[in-house]
Amino acid sequence: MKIIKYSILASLLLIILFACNKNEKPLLKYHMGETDANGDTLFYTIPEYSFINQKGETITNTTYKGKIHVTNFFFTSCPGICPIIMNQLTRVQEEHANTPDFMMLSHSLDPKNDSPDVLLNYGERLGVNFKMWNLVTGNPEDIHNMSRDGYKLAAAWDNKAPGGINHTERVTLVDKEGHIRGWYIGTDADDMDRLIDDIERLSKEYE
Amino acid sequence: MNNTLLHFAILCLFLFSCTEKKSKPNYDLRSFFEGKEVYKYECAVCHGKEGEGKGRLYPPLNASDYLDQNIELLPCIIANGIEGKIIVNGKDYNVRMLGFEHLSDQEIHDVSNYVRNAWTNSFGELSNNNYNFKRNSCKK
Repeated sequence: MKIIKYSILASLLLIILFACNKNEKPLLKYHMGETDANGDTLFYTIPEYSFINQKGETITNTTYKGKIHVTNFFFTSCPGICPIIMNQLTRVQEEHANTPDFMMLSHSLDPKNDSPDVLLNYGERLGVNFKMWNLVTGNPEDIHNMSRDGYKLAAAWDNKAPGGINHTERVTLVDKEGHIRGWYIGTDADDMDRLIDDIERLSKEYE
Repeated sequence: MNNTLLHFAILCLFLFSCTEKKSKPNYDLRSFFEGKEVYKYECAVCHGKEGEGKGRLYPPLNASDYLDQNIELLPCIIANGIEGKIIVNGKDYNVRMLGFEHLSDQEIHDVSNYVRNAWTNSFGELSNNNYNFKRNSCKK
């Protein structure tokens, strides 16, 4: 009788132990295989940039230094995937409204039409909290290069694409040092849930 | 036996009296259903599956006083887009909509027919029989 009792207890303990041990994969830290003189991995860092936000203020790497941040590319009159991505990003904003040192950055791929005023109007209507989320515009070449080379995403002018701009649905997670820590599908609610979880995990790395 | 016949006759009477004569809809059903597909892929993301709109960004297309007053402009708005502030059901909207250049004239014709007659809208057929929308008829 005692043996049965102990077996049940032991099984319960094992179940609890396994349930607690999620065994999660560590967060990505993107690198291109380069190492320093000591043989340590050189992690990829977002290159320098300078854009203008919805209030006409200059936004650079310095603005986001020491901030965990989420970035993406969109444009205000985009009839395709942007409304879905931007809607998902408002969920990220709400979930992490109180996460310390967390910000967001959305780049317009249509700087010709998306002036700071247009971005401000759009952001207000979307419900953007501008204290933590900048919508930026700038030199079209710079923004496209930033998407392709900076965040390793695709963006190109395409007459056949809705709105004339074919761009990625990917959202990038960047850490406080400017390293890429993940890419997520902005149109996929489940993958955006993963982003919401990963921001929390990344935040814990700094505790 | 007589009773059975009588019951049968009464049943038939009920059945026939309940069969409502369906009136023909005042729009082209083929065009309506083709338009429904276009709407699903091109419009619903902003204007909502039920034409309810989205927050302060995208106006509703169902029960919209703006459409009541501008229904004839609908296909040209889809073709060429719209920008500037508009008031819909007392709320202002001001996010530029681009023209749907990748849609054919026929697709714009069909999706207009859908919006005109979907949900609680009942604007009827886009125009008379044999009329087909042509985007070059829109004022630029």
